[in-house]
Amino acid sequence: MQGMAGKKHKQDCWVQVEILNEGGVEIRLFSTVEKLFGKQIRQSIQGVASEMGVDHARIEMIDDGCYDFAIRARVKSAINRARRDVS
Amino acid sequence: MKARRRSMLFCPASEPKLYVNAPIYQPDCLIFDLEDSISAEEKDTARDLLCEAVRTLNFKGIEIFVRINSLDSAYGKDDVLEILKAGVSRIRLPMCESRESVLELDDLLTEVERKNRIQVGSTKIQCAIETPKGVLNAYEIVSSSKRIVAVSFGAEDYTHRMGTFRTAGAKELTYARQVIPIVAAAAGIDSIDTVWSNISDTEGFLREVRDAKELGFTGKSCVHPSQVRTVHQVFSPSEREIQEAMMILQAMEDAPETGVGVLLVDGKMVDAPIISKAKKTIQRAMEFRCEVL
Repeated sequence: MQGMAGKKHKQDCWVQVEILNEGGVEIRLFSTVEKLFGKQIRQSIQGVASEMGVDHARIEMIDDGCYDFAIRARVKSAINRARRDVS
Repeated sequence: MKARRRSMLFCPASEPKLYVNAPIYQPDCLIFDLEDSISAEEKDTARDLLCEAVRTLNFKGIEIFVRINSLDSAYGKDDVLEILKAGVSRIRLPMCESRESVLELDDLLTEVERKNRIQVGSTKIQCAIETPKGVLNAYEIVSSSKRIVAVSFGAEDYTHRMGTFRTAGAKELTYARQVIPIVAAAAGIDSIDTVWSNISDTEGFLREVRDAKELGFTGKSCVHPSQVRTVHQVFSPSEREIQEAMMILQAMEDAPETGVGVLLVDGKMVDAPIISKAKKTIQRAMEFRCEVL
């Protein structure tokens, strides 16, 4: 089950979520601010996944300086779309 | 203190940077739009973005409205459910044509408030009147619920339904723009004039804002941050209005006790309604921190 949300442009991020049956949550982050905020971004992604009861997934994000609230929103949208299997 | 709603700045709810940038322009209100400016494919993501923004960001005292999708659409009811849980307490209801459309939202709000332990009645409604039928039913609409705090006029949909188009002189809007402030005043709520879409025509915009004030509107919708300042200048008491008001109040203070309720100030008759209006002018000047004071 796969879902995508967001945009690949400045101050936004694009997220793809593939919900799996095992293996935990794997995060692949490509961010223009990786060095400064990479850890916090990963924490936000993991936080949303946990809140939404997602224990096993591959989450890929392409981030271009997105605000934290928008990161959380995009991950939430992508997970919901994956659950509905909307690409 | 009564909320001030001189300017209502529209922002599509789909753009992350607008949640951070729009408050910089200090409109009195922000309207985050889930309706016409959002494509069908992105209704869900716009709503998610809005909810996270409302939960997280500090909008520094700016009143936040959300224009939801019609309750007849596939999105409207979910809009209400999710945004109330996120903390939104002001909803703009599009295309109001009858009291029934307001009552449907009122009932839904009560249900969602109860289920989520939100104070019942705390969510307020701004009715958008955008059709000929809505204009004809305007007073019935604005007096249908205690939740209604404002009514706004939408000229784009209105002229489309009328089979006409917007002109510089706005003749095609005359009746609607007279009725809406009247019913709002009768109901004791704010009235917000329609948007001006031709952003580059700043002179035309200024003319329309002045017209709106003279017609009795209490505010105006904006589609660009550059419009906010003009709206605030027009809808705040002018230097001339403030000085007239101060002259009237001074004359009232200086007048000997005669039991007569009429004064002559600068050659003009001044009685109770005019004195009351002068007091309101000074109150608004202080509220908006007008420089003359």
